[in-house]
Amino acid sequence: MLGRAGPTTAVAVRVGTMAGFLLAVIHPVAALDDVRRYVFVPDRATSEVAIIDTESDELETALRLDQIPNQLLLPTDASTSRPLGFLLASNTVDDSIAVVDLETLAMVRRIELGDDPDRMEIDRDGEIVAASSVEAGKVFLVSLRHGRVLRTVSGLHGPDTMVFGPDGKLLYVGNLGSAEVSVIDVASGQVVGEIPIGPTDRRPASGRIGAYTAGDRMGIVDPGTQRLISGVVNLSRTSFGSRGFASHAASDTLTVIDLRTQEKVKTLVLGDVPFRTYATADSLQLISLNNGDGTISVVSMRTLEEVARIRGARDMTGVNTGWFETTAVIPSRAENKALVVDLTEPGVIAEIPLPSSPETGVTTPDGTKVYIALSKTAQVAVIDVSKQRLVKVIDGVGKEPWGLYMAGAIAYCH
Amino acid sequence: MKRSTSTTALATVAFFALTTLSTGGPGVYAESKISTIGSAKVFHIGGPFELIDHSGRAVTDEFYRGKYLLISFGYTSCPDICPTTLLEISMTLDRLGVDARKIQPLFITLDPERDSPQVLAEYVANFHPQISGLTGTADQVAAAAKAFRAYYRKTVLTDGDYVLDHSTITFLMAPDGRYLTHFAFGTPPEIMARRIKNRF
Repeated sequence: MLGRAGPTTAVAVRVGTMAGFLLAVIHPVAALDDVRRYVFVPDRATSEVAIIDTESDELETALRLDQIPNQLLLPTDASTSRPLGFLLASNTVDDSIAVVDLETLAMVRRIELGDDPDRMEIDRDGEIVAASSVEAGKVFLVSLRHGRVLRTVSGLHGPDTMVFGPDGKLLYVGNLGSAEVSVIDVASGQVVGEIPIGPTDRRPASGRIGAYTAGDRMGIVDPGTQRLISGVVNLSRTSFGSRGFASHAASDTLTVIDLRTQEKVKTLVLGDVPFRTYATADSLQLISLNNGDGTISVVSMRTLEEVARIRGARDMTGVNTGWFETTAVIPSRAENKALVVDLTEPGVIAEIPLPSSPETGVTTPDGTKVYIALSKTAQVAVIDVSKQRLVKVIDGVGKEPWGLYMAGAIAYCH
Repeated sequence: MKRSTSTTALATVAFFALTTLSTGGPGVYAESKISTIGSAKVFHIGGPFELIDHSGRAVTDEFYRGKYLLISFGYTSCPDICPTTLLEISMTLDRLGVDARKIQPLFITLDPERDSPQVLAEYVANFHPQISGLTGTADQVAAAAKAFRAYYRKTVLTDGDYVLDHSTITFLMAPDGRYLTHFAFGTPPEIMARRIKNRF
């Protein structure tokens, strides 16, 4: 069963007062009977977020929001990986961020932004949330403690994916519209640097950032939003936070950035259109999904060299690593399957057919299972990573489930 | 041996003094521990190790045959995760009651440079008396970590001190040395005890 029946007065304190909210933020609470065992599944067609118990692999209950969320965040304490007791939901209907108490499953606060929040990232202290708005060219720096926007950074070129530096003082922003990563000082809200990405031996003929010619493509069209992406298609980082990875689909390159110094470490040429790049939880390897040619690049983080480029599939949606980071599970939306990749001797060792198109997935904190949303059939597939096979399909998960979130999904102390 | 006095102090040092990164530990998983069952590729967990316990006695994995092993990796200067893990293991053993005698909990240090048998003895004395601390040479510790796919990396601070990033899994091994299951950090003791008992 979810939750525990706390005293009514304790719940009222937590919901009703600033002090109560601060208490919930500063002192992690054990809520929802161990939040880490549940998968939260947002939906494109309903504002209900389905909640799956990973011990039983059954639908447990649903979190009822007042609008369809764009993204969820389940923050955890950076040192202990313990959930902080609340969930964040970004809303594009009223341009806000909702804060939900995970013990009561009730919204305790709504923070208005003024523009569509496309992406959210939270700093390691759980205090500041960065929300990017691609069309508005803005990043909002939101204080959870004070429940409001502290700073608005304007004039960016399609800010999308973001990562905080290891000490939380800097925010790195990948711009869809320019081949640059903007560096923002969180305290002042000022842009303090621009890191150009992409090939360093070529310059845009017109001088305009991102306008590559002479054989380079102008960009890629995101199938979901139909946006032309000429800049940073994805920005991610290691779980330990010291290195960032900016993918530039227009030039098939990946730029490695030292997030402590803002310096470029290396630029690698990968497969065609490196759409998504993620480090393993132990930061030993980097995996890039090259959706232009359906290959997967495996990069050694020790040498920063591509050690393997293997056959993947079409329209790969994400990378979920598990079983002590020996194995990656990669859904293919176009081919209705999940690839199982051996990370110790890089190669595809299994293909798991799925009942319908997979969206994104999530790995359990112990690395044993991957859950994948199947939006067309309102199901969630459960994959046993150690056995590399589908063990269950959970039916009746909302109407169009698309994403899955779990708190504390990595098992490393740092 | 330097010890951090508080999480805040260590975090502050790490955040503001960190300018150097160096790696330690294997970083490469054992390639020999793979077998194939049908069409699945199985990555084995666990294997032989040769270490020294906190009383100074040389021990191997064979030494513990006949007992369930509850193995965690860490280091004595770890500010949060390791003491919490050992506390939760202690509480798990308490919950198991007389069944706890079937279990040998082991805390294997990933910091043999600082964690001598004496240091380990002082450290484990803070927790359940059944917990044994193991150390060894750098190679011995690396081999044990590799067998369990336990990752660790040294981060050197500007004042010369260092911290270790490391995996936080606790392993349960059968009396014959086979891997049975593992627990993510923060698994409640009552859940851990129940899952262990189910394996008896």
